[in-house]
Amino acid sequence: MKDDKKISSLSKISLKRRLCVAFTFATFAPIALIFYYIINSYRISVLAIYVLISVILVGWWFVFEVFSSVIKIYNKTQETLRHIKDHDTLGNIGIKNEVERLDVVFNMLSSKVKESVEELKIVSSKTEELSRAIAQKVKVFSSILEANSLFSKGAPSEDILQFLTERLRGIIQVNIVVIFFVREIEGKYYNFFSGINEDKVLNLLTNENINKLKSVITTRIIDKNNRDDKFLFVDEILGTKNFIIQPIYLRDNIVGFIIVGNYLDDFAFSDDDSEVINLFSYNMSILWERKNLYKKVEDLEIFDPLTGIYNEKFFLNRLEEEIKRATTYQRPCGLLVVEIVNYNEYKQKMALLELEKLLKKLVGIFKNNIRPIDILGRLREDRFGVILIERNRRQSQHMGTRLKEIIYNFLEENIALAPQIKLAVAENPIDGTNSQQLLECIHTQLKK
Amino acid sequence: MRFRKKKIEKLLGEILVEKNIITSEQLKEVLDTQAKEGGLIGEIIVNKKFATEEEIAQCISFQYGFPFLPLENYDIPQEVIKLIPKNVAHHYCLIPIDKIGNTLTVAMANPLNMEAVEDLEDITSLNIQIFISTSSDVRKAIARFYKD
Repeated sequence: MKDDKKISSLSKISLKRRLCVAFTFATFAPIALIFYYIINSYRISVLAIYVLISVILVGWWFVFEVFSSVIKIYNKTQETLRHIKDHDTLGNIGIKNEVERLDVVFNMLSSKVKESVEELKIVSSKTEELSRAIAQKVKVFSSILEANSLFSKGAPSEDILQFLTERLRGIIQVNIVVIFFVREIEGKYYNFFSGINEDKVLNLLTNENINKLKSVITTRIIDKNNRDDKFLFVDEILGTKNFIIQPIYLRDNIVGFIIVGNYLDDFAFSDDDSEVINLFSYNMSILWERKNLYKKVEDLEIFDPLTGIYNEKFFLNRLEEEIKRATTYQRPCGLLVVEIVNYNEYKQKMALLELEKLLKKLVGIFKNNIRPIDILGRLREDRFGVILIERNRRQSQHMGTRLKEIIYNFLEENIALAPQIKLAVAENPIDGTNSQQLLECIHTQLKK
Repeated sequence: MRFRKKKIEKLLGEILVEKNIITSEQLKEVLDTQAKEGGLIGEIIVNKKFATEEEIAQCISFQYGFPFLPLENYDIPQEVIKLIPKNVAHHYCLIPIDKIGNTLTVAMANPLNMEAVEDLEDITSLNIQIFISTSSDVRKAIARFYKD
């Protein structure tokens, strides 16, 4: 413990001062003592010799202390070199002197530190890039997830595609985004855009330009590193200086294109940008397919989901068929329409469940009071229609009056807040030769 | 003579078999064709050349008492034509031929089509007197007198 204290007290003294102390003890003090005895002609006693030797030893102990601290540092540097696996390099230098070697080691270590600092800088900039890329990816995936969740909530596909268009513009930080899908059967374009006005988009989507764009089968980048005069028209119409054209594939067929662009000089798109656009194109193609499938299902649907009777589309198809049949057989075809007056106001007053019950009851009344060959359908939320096979206007009117009476009887007996009912009839051939003309006749009557 | 609803006891095919205009085998064949391809029974019989239009018209005339009227040389005034729209005339294969007082005389290929007669009453608000004619005569007359 005492030794430790000594060492710690000595360690606080600088090497230079320690060497002065050592010199004083080992050289100056004995010489001064010998001179003192010689000048005074004293005889050197045993005690004096003992004191002299002690002083010299103290001096040498100080010298030893100085060198041992140097050796200690040297050993520590060796250990450090061993850690950084550069010990063999030092062995090859061929210097035996520890102090010189220490100098070399210090130089090596300082260059190593410099290198490490440089590496650290590179790593930190890479980390920054990586975190930016991760943030971008998170934005991409969260956008896609949000789009899917919107779809499952029943949001219109057009709204979801517009949402993705806006998000894409934000994520890759471009000035404009134009996305369009081509529906070959209809020859129509469905476009979504952000950061640009509709006129420019419509100028871009001419048949001639679309045909030029159709030559793009993989991602096409036009920036400071990639130029292609074939696509100058995009720059001219959209006013961009750099852009990417990305085809949207659906089962090996191109169904649309994504065009993103900016107005920057001396700009090059990164690989990440095209990767993000690629991801968006993939997901947009899925949404597009879903939209088309949904439409197909809708087209195939023939029943009204609430009442279970024919929906408007199917009902009108049947009406057209029945009119043709009636014409062939020189027979009349009646159309009876029942409307709930002020349906929307009534809907607000009544609980939804109650209203649904009422509509189902009305359908039950219709079914029970028309012939099995007659065709019942829901024309609108507030309108029911009956195709009265081979019934003329007079017979249809008679049927309507009877039906109205039955409905009012039911409503009076069962519903506290009964709605008003309006009725209209039309007949082929008197009121029209096709379903459209019959419906117009019905609308005119119901408006009165 | 005001139109009175006739009680249709027998179908056209049965009457034609009864009057020996067609055989029951021919009627069966006609009914099969109608089931397969659709169309009016009278027109199928004529198309298959089992009977002529005149024979069918005469038969219905005899059975139900509608007077037969050939339209070939008949002249119809335009004010009478205007009483019934062309699409209705074409649809029911009929043509107005005369109007005396509150009575409108109409020539029809199928005078048993009571719904058509009711429609005529509703359109014109007149009493309807029916004559029977062949469908080709009626169609020719429609083409002749209805000018767009």
